[in-house]
Amino acid sequence: MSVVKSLFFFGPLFFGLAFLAPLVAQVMVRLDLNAPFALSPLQFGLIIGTVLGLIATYRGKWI
Amino acid sequence: MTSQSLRAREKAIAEQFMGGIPWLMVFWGITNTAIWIALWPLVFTGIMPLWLGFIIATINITASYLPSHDAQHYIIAPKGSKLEWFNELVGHWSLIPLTLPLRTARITHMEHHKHANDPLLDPDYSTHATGPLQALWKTIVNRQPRAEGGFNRYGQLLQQWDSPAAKSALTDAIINKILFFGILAALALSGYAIEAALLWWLPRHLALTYISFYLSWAPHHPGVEKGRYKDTRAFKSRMGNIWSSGMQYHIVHHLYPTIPLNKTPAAYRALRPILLERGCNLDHM
Repeated sequence: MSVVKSLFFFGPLFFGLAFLAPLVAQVMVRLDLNAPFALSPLQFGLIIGTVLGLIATYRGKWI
Repeated sequence: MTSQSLRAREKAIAEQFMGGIPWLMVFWGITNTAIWIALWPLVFTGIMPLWLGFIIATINITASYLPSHDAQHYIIAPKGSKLEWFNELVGHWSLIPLTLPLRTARITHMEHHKHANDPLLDPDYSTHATGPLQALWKTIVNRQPRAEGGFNRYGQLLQQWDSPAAKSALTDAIINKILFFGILAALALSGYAIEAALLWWLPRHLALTYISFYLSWAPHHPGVEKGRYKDTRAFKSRMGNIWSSGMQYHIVHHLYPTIPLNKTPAAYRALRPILLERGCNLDHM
């Protein structure tokens, strides 16, 4: 159970990396948007997903 | 009329609405999930536009709970009967889009019936709110990763109960959650993040908001009293009975949980004089 609890504790970070990051990247490609600082859409998505996921993991809430 | 004879009359009326297979609920449960599954190839192959898939998926996932609710109460086929497997099949199948396991839903729902409005024992108590706006806000709060309410409360209670049934329900819930996010991640990493978001992730959040509001908060509001005739109510919904998922007559369900959802309006009308005598909150219905 402790393994599961740890897994779920870091759930927001996993969600940010594995779902939000590709989602942001694919939305940018679909809408033909450019990422700042010459980043690729996936790099930009990974930054957004990681930052949001870490914040949500730390706070225990997304909003 | 004594309380006992009133109860006997109430029971005799209610029994007229019980029994038989509620085919409408069976049809609803089976086709609803089948339509939701069909959306995926239709959208992936470009036959259906994603925006339309999103709307249909939201309706599908919102509608996925109630057929399973009849199955949770063994209304489709009684426990121990030859058709119990059919009841379980409809219950499991209809909940796939919502990603809520039947055994988890059933055990927590039965406790809700036993302890409705009890702050410590009612698994659904976290949906209580002072008004509709707060109720909507609480559905969002309850879904945050380390929220104390919502499905997290189910998990806490399942660990506390520590029975074999609770352990099974908890295992189902854990597997279900891992599978759901695993599938979402697999789809996203395969290039289908937008489709996964609009056919499942976002519609599910919208559905859970609706379900929490109309199936939990509204029929129990203000939710301060306990007891057979006090822990739920009849209410007039601005959305009408169908768009509020039949919850206007939820009081009938708490009194006689084996009456199928589609028969609760008629049962309510038949039982109304007795409910008035019992002092139930009928909200001028």
